Amino acid sequence: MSSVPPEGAIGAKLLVSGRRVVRVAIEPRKMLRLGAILVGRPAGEALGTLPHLFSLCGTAQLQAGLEAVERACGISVAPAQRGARRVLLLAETVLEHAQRLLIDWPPLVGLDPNLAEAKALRQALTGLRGLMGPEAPWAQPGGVPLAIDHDALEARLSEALAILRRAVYGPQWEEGGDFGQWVNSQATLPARLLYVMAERGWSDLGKSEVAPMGEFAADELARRLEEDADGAYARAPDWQGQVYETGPIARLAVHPVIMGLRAKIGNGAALRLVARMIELTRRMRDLIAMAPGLEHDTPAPARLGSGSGLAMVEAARGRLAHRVELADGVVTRWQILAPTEWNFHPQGAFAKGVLGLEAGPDLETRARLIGTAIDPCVALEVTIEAADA
Amino acid sequence: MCLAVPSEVLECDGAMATVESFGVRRQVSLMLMAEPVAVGDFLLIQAGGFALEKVDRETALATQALMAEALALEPAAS
Repeated sequence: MSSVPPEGAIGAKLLVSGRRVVRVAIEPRKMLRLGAILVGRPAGEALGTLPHLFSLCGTAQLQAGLEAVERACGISVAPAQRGARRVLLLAETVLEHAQRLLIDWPPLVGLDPNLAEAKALRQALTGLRGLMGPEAPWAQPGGVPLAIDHDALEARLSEALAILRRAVYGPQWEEGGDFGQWVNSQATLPARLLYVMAERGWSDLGKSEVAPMGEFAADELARRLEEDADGAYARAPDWQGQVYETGPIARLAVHPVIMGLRAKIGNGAALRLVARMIELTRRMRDLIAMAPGLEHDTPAPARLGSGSGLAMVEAARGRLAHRVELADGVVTRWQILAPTEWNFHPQGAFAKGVLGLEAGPDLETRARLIGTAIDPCVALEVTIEAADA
Repeated sequence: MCLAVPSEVLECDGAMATVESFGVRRQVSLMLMAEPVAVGDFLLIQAGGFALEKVDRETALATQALMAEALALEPAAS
């Protein structure tokens, strides 16, 4: 019986020679042909399946799919709908980042995860859809009837902020403040994580020359996907011949703290953790600022026609693209380009980050820490072999 | 792509459960679950091995059927 979980896993074989990792063989995850099973279905029905298939980042996946369908059919979306979608995406990003910081990273440096606070945050930030309109489905092009329960929404966000303040930020955290003082305080698990990584000399672990992803011209990406008949591009993408890193570190590439730290320690594990902290702080602030302005809306039913559309959404892990082709409202093609295919590309941030690591008993742990810092959406299986074996 | 495969609970001891999907069994932590879990429930599992939420049986089976359809399109494993 296979031990590989059904959602797939990324295999990373590190080949060691002369006490260094000299080669990295990435076995990309097996990509289920999900696009193919959406073909032949009415677009609304296909959209309805997305949150079930991708429940863990379902908001980003659904929004990318919805926007692609809306573009294909020229459906305009009211600002009220855009605002509601934005709030849901912000909440998903905050929760995903916090889960990485409170659950996934700590055990890799010998610390206990903070499951109680992660669970409390999850309870505060999931199910917000039900406070803004119908609990399900939100898979309607043009939007859903919105009836915002402002009091309940604000109570949930206040609760989330209180949890973040005590479990993630701590008293000394400030987005652009004295970052060293915050680390030395070790007042929260993320601060302690950085402290322990520095103690072990792991702050620059996984640094590489892989550049942060910038803006893409949508037309050009649409063309690359349109020409991608066998799915090879979606499995191993490039942009004008280069592989880029996507995610918080790329979105904050021009943030002064990130620029300063990058110049000092490179784009290693510590920088990735700080980028996630800064982004989490900003997204939570945006969430609290946006929520009171959400408005009721009753959209007219949208008519689905024919055409093609591409949408890009910044999901927690990085840029996610969906491209659809429709004929009379029925799906004739559906393509998904996920951030993991950039970051775990054979020439991407993870592969380049583990190359050159010093061999030793904790090599697997260090490779896993680099993987977790870059954040795959599936399990990462690390194996180590002698290069001449 | 953050696929979430609904997994059926076979055994459950409070903090941990044994779940199965597509013939693969695994141990998952229930520490993040907000509601009680029983044998026969379907759960969504995060890559780190934590169950995150329950899905109703009908939705779980429909999602598994879609995934099985996608798996059937894959070329035979080499």
